[in-house]
Amino acid sequence: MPSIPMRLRKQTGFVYNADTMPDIVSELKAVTTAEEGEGCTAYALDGCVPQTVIKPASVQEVRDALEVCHRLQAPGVVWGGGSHVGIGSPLQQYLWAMDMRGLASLKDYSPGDLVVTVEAGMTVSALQSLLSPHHQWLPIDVPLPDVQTLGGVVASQGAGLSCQRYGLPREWLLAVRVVLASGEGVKAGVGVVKNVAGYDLPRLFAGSWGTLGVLVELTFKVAPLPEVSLAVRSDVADVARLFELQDALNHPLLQAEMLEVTYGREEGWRLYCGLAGFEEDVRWQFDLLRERTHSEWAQIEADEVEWLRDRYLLASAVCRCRCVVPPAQTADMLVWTHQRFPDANLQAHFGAGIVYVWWEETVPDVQALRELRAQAHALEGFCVLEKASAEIKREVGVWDAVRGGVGVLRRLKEGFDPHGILAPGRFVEGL
Amino acid sequence: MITQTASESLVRDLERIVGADAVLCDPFELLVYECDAYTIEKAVPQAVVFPTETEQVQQVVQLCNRLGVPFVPRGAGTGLSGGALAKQGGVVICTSRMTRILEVDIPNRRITAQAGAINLDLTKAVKAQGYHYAPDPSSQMVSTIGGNVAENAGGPHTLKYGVTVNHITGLEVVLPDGEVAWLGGKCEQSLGYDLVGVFTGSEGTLGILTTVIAKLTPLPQGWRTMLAVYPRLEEACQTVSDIIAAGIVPAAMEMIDRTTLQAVEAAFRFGFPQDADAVLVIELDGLEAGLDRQMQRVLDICRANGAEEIRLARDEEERTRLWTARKKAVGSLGRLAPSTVTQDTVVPRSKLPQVLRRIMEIGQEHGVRIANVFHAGDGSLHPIVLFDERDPEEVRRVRAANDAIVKLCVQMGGSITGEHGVGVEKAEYMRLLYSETDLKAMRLVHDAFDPQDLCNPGKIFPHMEGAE
Repeated sequence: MPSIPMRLRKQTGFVYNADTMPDIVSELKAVTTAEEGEGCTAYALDGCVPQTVIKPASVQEVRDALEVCHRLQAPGVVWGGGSHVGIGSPLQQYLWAMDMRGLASLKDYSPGDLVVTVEAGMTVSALQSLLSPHHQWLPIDVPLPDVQTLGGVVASQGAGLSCQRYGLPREWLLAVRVVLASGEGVKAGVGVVKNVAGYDLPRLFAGSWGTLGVLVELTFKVAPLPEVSLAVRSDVADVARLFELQDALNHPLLQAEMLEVTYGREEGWRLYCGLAGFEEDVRWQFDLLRERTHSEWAQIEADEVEWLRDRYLLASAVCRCRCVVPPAQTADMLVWTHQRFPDANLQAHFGAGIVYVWWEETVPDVQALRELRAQAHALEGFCVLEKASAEIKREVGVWDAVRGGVGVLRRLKEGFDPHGILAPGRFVEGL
Repeated sequence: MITQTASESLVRDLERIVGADAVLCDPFELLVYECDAYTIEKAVPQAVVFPTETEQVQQVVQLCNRLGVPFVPRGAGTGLSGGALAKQGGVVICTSRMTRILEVDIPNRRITAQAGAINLDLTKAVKAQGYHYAPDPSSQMVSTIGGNVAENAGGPHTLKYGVTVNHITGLEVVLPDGEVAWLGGKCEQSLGYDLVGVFTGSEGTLGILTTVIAKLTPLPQGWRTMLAVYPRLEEACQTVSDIIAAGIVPAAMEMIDRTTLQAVEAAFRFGFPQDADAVLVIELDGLEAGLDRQMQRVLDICRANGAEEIRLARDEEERTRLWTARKKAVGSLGRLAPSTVTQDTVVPRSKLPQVLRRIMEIGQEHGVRIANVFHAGDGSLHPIVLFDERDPEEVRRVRAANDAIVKLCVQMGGSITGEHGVGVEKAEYMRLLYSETDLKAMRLVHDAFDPQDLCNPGKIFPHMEGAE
């Protein structure tokens, strides 16, 4: 094994030097499937194409591949379905992509325990298909479930239509198996619904955007499917009505699964509500919904719910931001954004304080994007620039500033990924 | 080892920060703080301080850092694994004077409170508006929200409502280097690694918690409480599984075994059948509209599984009486033996019948009597070993039986602790669950927060080869 010059270890950023280091592709090919050539262009990020795409077929291959990358200090990015991997600061160096979709098998499912264990490359839809014959589901109804892998959804802390009721994926995650940057395999958590043995590492890896380790196996608790579901839509006459609706909907006995607000130039403002549970509960809540909102509601079918779920991701956006504010500030965020950017499309998880803003034709200028971020700050929230050109990403900054504990975040990154091979510089605070 | 002179100097500095009336250093007064509710291991701290503000906590931590003195957070001292034990001496930072509820924010469904606020006081502050703070450990009348966060406390209603970590969105902490940091806030999503999630359940080893932002949950509109008596334990366990399989998630499903029933019957004369092997207390809650049909389904399932008697609560008084059998069960066991020790493990729900039978065998093998009262809905077991602590030979057998129970639960795919934490009690059992590599990953997290290992040292991690 060739030794690595010590001076390279001390560097950050462009650590892999093709002139002095062994050929990464040939080393990877010795341990796993590593493709080169045109196929790599599908894995481009911010205009950068990786040298190779690693397609592991087993956890051992993930371990062996990462051991090679770690030894060579070669940075790259882990891919799931690819729907969110573009979110992040532009890379300084991108040598490999690791496509996890080859690890997609069911490891264990015990319906009586409401617990399931799967490999991280399984899609959300595939898991729901395994659960539904037992009248169970994982309450993570994120966009593009046929595309998104469970590992990707967990790593990106994806919020679905019903996140206000069921929370984020981390609320359902009991245990993980992770391959660290060094290639070592680690188990964290236990597949039971109550466990307080040691630190909650599954929560650390959830939402770490693949910068601390590679998720290879996930254990979730699951839930019974509701007996009935009802989804309804109401047109919202004008933007000022959003404040009234927010107050009306914030009632302790109105426990909607979904509250979604959309705005588009053609359809105007709409409010969607989803109710689920036992039939009597749903009927009672629908009556309460009508009574409190004084609105006309029309029932919608499953295909419209799916369209709503996927809407902001399928839009041909040239720029997209995600603003996160405390739940009761959602209407404020929507109204301010609409008044400042009348051409922008909007979608909000109305009960969870998550607002997506996107532009389909004209990219707002840098100053305007900074104003949007400042408004999120004013409402005690933050703003992530999810989609834009690399140039705008660099100017505005993809991630907002972290409020506290930045030193801890840095030490976590340095501890788990000491050579900086897992998407270095792509996450918050340049991690 | 801190010298006498240094100790006096430390106390003077502490008094300058929090005031003389907020520092304990008298050896007799310090005895109160030599342990928490885990009384097997004891260690006396150099001093105990009672800050009222975050800034005071920060200054105490900074002082300890300068002097290289360990510091240990403590809430109400109800912990059952020795988490608040000053194992290596040092300063205990007690949050019992940081009890203020700082903000009730109904529109956002959040409550902000100092770390020393009592769990139940959070609910009292919002009950009139139709909300509550859902996690309800049995200590909730005295335990602090900060202690609950540190231990990731559960309770009988976690089957439906989850544990503490599912209800926390923001924490103000004093990090071990003295930095005051806000982790998270009122938003559902946070930015960066989930330090709120990592801090929750870290047993006071990653910093001193000073303020908590917790979610508020709507109060249920109605409830249905029932108690089913079974001639065989397996049938009670099957009932639990069948209720879940029917798509019903009760607020609570609590089980009491034959040994415990005998004690409960002797104390309260409920009139349970003499041959009853198990009693299941089931509580449904939620919107009133659907509760009757859910209850009917549950009753059908209970009957189908051979329940020989079912009692329904018709009003709050009857509900309280039904819960008495569960809530007084542990206390009733004092009638059967002078001493008891409660274990805390978890197994997959489907393994309950096997595990319970095996626990009885373990009792027989070690010549000790074991009672079971537990959260059946989530497989959270609390085997209670009955013994006489004046008999050293019996104490040895109790320890061996406890050891066997923990190992059994891990073999069955469970955990060494579901609610009480690792603390000092179960540090060596961590190796049953985790490999050296797994533990090293946890150690990376510890060192990212507390590289000097001054914050509540000697907890969670088993003794490592080569460590001092």
